[in-house]
Amino acid sequence: MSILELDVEHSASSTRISLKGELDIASAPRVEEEVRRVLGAGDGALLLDLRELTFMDSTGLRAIVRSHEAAERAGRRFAIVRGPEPVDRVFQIVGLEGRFELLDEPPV
Amino acid sequence: VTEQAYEGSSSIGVELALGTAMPIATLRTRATQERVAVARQFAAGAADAFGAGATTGEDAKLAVTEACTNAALHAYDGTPGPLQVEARLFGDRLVVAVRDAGRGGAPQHAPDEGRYGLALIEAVAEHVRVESAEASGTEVRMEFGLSPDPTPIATEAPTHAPIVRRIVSLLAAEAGFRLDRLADAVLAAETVAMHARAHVPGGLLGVALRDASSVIEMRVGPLVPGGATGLLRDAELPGVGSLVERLAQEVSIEQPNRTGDFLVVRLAGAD
Repeated sequence: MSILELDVEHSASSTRISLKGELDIASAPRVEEEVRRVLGAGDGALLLDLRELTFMDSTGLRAIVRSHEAAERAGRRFAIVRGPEPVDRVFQIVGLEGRFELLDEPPV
Repeated sequence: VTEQAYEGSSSIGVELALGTAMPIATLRTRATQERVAVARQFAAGAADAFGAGATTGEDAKLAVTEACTNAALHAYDGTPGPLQVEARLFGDRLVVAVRDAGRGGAPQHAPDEGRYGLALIEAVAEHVRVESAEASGTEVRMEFGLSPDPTPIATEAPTHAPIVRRIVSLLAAEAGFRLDRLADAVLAAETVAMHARAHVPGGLLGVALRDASSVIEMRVGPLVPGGATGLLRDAELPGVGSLVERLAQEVSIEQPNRTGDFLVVRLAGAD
């Protein structure tokens, strides 16, 4: 078991990558890898679901920024489902809230 | 204490200095990317042990993660060296220092790479000071205000339990423990940590952890002569007997120099 679990779910129009656990320097590379894999495998929107993420630091945030850039280059919609307060505040502190499409969904 | 407890670079030491009015918790590990999560759980556990409150614990987790990530990336060339995190309660502040013995003299990351990390530390800590002299390592000292509703734990009598519980849980998950074994390991480690305090000769208690595939070894001491037996007896439960011996794969007592006991508890991830 790792500090981060990734769950990938495909629907007709989008792919949802759900992150469960902690996103830091040890786990961030796996997110970028998975995003690259999903971008290479098909089309449609990409949703990064942070609702079950309990922790995220600046390394995790940078992985999300790079994932977003990769999706833009591929011409794909990229949206983030907001996580709990300790995760959400990281976007606010560094002033990157406006950069992403952030969605509110009921907690899991 | 803990460096004597386990030789080798992969061990994790958690010390609690209890003798003074101001208890100090210290984590000793290596500056690797994998151990950043251990440092984070140590910070949350120390905040908990000192009754600093949940919000403070969350802030300390984030700031300590940033400082330790920096050490893991930049402090050492090649072989990762020591990383130390020290936490203490000072008045109405939780003071946490992250230290390495690396090259020092370096700014916090390259500017573009590091600005988020430093911005996060500055946002959650009330005060930050970075000391980094050439060839003498880096120290990041951070102060956190206490949560408005600090948990009313007796701060004059902290134990290792909240720290050990978090770190053992993390190590057991990473070592692939079965979920029931993980719960057993956490309970055994927490029980030992809670009862160790009464059997310490001086004001310093060390807990060393060593993890391997599917096994975690916990070494507690030095305890007073006979202290290991006393600790196990204290942890007995009616109808269960020796809880620690029931939960652990193996329990042994070492008396390396006949002046004190070490209690060694081996926790296994599967049958």
